[in-house]
Amino acid sequence: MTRTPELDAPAAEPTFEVIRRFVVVRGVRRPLRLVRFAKGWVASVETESGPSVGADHSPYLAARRALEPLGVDLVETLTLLGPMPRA
Amino acid sequence: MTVTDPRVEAGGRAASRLSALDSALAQFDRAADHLQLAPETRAILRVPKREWTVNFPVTMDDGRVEVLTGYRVQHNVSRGPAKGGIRFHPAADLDEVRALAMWMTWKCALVDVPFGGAKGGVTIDPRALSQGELQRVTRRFATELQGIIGPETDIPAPDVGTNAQVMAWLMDTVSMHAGYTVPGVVTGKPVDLGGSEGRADATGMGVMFTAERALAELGVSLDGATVAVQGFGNVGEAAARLIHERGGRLVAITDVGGGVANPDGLDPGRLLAHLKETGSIAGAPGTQPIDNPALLALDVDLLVLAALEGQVTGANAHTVRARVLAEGANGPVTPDADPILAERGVVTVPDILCNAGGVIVSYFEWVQNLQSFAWPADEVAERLRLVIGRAYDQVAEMRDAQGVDARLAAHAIAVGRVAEAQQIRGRYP
Repeated sequence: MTRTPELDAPAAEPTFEVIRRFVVVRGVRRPLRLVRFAKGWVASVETESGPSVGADHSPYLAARRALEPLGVDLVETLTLLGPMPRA
Repeated sequence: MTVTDPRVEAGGRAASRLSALDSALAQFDRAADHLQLAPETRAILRVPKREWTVNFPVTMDDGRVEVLTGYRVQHNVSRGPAKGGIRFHPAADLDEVRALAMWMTWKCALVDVPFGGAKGGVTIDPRALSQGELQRVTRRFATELQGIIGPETDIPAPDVGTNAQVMAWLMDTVSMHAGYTVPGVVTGKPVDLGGSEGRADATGMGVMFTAERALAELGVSLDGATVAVQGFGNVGEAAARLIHERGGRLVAITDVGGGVANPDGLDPGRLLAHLKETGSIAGAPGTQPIDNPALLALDVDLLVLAALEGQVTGANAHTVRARVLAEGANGPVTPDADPILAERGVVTVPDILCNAGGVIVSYFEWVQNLQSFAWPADEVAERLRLVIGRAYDQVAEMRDAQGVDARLAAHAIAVGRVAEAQQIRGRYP
């Protein structure tokens, strides 16, 4: 088996962090997953038609894209998320 | 015709090392940091998209030819045509116009009207001009902006030192060049020329609505509240009059020539009559004199700043004792003053929210011009109340949910919306 040390060696610093939030949109409580990478964020939320995903340097803009199919605008996203740690 | 100039020179502005552009950039950086904007988005939004400097000759009444300098800056047009006033002022310069254009971008985005941000200026004192000279300056500047301004590209409006008549000359000049009437090229026109009912009072009305909301959050009614107003020009006079009509007690007002105070209350109608007669409210019958530093330090429920930028700074913020500070002017509080005011418990209604009534009704005027349909004054006022009220609610929700101050909340919403528009549109080519 060929090993690639760059990929297989345990990282001294974790390369990502998962933050789980629950958001209530139009009365429905939904899990919102935010993954923080060194260069930005990926957000995903479950919708009736499957998971919706958004990615951006900004956690708010990433979450806004993920929440868009649920009809959530930027101001609602900012309010739902509250303060976020820095990438 | 009187070109009102709300500059407040009595007592001078408080010394600050921060220019208007420094303040605008510091506020943008704070919002961009909070949103964690991508570096490339940040780089785009931090600078104006387009800017012009024009030098043009004007023949004065005595036959002399003066070469004047004017500016037009379009900060961002991601959300729609550029929108912003034109000021005639001896201190107008490119950096100031850049700052004001950037604030216009955020203001339009915050109240969610489909405009980008722009601003213009001519470095001249309009009070020193005859009507003929003012008209020639306006028409020549409009000609220099040929191809830049237009109903679908960039729509000017009145600002410091300009008014509805100046907008009428601008519109007429553009129309003469086009060969047909182009009412939508400017807003803030006289109503007889397609201006909107309520436009003249719109900024002051927005100040009154938002200040009333801020006071209500503190459990204070505007009816019976004590109020001090800095500036008695287009914004300050309307705000003072409308606050007075709502039962607010105006205890002090300053303008370019001085200030007046009366603890039992001032009548803004009488002050306006005195202003028209003498050129200043100073010395109006039944009042005591007051200067700017004393006005800023009054123990009042509401302090309205409706003059120019940089009035409350790190050097004098510790003197402010008002419960609510409403920013009727653009950038009247510098960033170094914000933490001092917050520490003193002063609630600030940030400028891009507080004085957005003007651009909201400008948007209404633009829409009415495009539709060739005029709305009655009460409909304009009601729509203004709804739009600025919704923006106030959104800022308050964001402020409370994120635990930030109202200025950061307002800027984060606005910058976020523009960043979103920028990203959705993509990059050309």
